[in-house]
Amino acid sequence: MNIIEEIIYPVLQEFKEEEEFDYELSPELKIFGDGAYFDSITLVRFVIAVQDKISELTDKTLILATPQAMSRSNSPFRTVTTLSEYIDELLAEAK
Amino acid sequence: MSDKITLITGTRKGIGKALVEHYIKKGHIVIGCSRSPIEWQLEGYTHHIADVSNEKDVLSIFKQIRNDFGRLDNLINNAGIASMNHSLLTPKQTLDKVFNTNVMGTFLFCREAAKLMQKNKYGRIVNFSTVAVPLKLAGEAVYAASKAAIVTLTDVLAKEFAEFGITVNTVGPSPIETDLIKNVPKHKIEELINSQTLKKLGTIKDVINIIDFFLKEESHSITGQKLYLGGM
Repeated sequence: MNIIEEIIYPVLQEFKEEEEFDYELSPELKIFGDGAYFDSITLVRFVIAVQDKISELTDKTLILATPQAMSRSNSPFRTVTTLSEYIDELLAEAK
Repeated sequence: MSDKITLITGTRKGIGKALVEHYIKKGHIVIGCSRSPIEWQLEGYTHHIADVSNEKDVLSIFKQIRNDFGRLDNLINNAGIASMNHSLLTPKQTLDKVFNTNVMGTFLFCREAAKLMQKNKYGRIVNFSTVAVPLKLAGEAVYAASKAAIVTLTDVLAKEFAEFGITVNTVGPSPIETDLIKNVPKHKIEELINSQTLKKLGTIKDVINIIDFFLKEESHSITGQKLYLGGM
């Protein structure tokens, strides 16, 4: 499964249209943190939407914002790429 | 918006069952749950067998709601268990049971409901506390503490969910003649009633009246509130 194309981009596109963000979809797009588009509440909504998308496509219920994830020195929510690597990791663990 | 979608927990009997009947009459589509099967049916009502403190059971209910309706308008967290005992005689098992159902269950349903509600930027959540919280009744340490946790949970969730157009409020019924109080000694109930401003038992209608108020679309500015019956 192409996590970026099938999970993250569709959700980012939805947010872009709904919230009128002017970002371009790219693997380097900053999701959260310095210079990112999302504030903390938008991140919460984004994480819920990504979890829903994962559940819809894989029938797996993943929890993305675990205490472990939130305490990592490099947040998995920094960019599209880091998020996709993180989801890949969780999907592998859920197998 | 079409018919309201309303989820009520603990619907097998008592207040929960009365709430189902009331909201079906009002034209809502009602979904409910209880640990054991129900012995009644109503058109427009879907029942799930679920333990409210079991995350898998809870997620499965919400998955069904998401698939069937794609949204949820109202959540009434009615499921709850009571425990009346002196704290020196209370086993840990009672704490686990009471806190799991009352606090964990309420939290899980609030969390999953808000995930669904935030998509439409609309939602009404009503949680259940009790007059035993402000009255701080001896013999109800575990039950009252669990219901006090629900009040605080409600206050904080009201703040967290406000941005999503979701209100979260608490209703605190006075004693009502349901199974919940059937094992409480009569003199204890009388003692409790005498410490209320209104010295009488509450009714299910009183509770429904408050919930109706919290669920109204016009109640969009009412959140983080605790409404105790009987005059606290």
